[in-house]
Amino acid sequence: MVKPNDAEGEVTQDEILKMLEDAAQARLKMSATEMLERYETGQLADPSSVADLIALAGLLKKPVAA
Amino acid sequence: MDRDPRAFRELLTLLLRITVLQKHHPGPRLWRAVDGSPDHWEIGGLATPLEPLPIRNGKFLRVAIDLFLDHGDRDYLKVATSSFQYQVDQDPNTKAWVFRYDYLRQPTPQAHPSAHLQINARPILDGVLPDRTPLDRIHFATRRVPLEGAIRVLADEFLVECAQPAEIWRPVLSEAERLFARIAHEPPLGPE
Repeated sequence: MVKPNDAEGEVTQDEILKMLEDAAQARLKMSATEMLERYETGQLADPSSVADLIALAGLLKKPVAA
Repeated sequence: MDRDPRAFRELLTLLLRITVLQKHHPGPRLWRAVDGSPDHWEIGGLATPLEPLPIRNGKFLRVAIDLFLDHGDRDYLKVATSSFQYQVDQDPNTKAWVFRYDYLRQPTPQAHPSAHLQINARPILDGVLPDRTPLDRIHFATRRVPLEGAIRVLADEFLVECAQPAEIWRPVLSEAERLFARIAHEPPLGPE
């Protein structure tokens, strides 16, 4: 990731996936793939608890989940 | 909002700087994936997209906005998801959050309103929630609340000191809200 104090930053898909994985494990005790699959199929108990992660996943070229 | 994500980020930074943002903080950052979708951006934290922003009472506001160019609508820049969460510490995964306004343009299969407020608290009355559902899992339907709404709650209800006097920041927020109301997508208040 680029240095702080700029208005803009760049991340790689691998960095995004790492952030999603760490956050999904910390919040829901599940993988990022499982979190996004459950989100897509309506099986997350409270999808709003990961609204910021859903927003971040929007940067991915391809969705993690099918 | 037109087509420029940088202008949108600058507007949000202005709104935060004249109100609740911690002094000298540069504000939210516009993120993109170098090898990801070329038409998506996220407005988020400074060091990482998930990092909450420090505010002037020593607590934090997590700002997460997913922006995309809508090629089906004149390439206008639109918000796919927004989430504004007031929280006690800087941990992106904290359980110490106070309230959160969310908006999801794409309806979820769950029967939750696409725009809603959640509050991390306990009811003072017994037996008012179904099946022991905690209050923080209740989604209070709202109209779509922009960042300005979260700022107003912090300033007017939580009494977070603002950088500028109210005579300055209130008209700026009001004008931004008028512009938002003219173009904002408003989801239904619940599933259709």
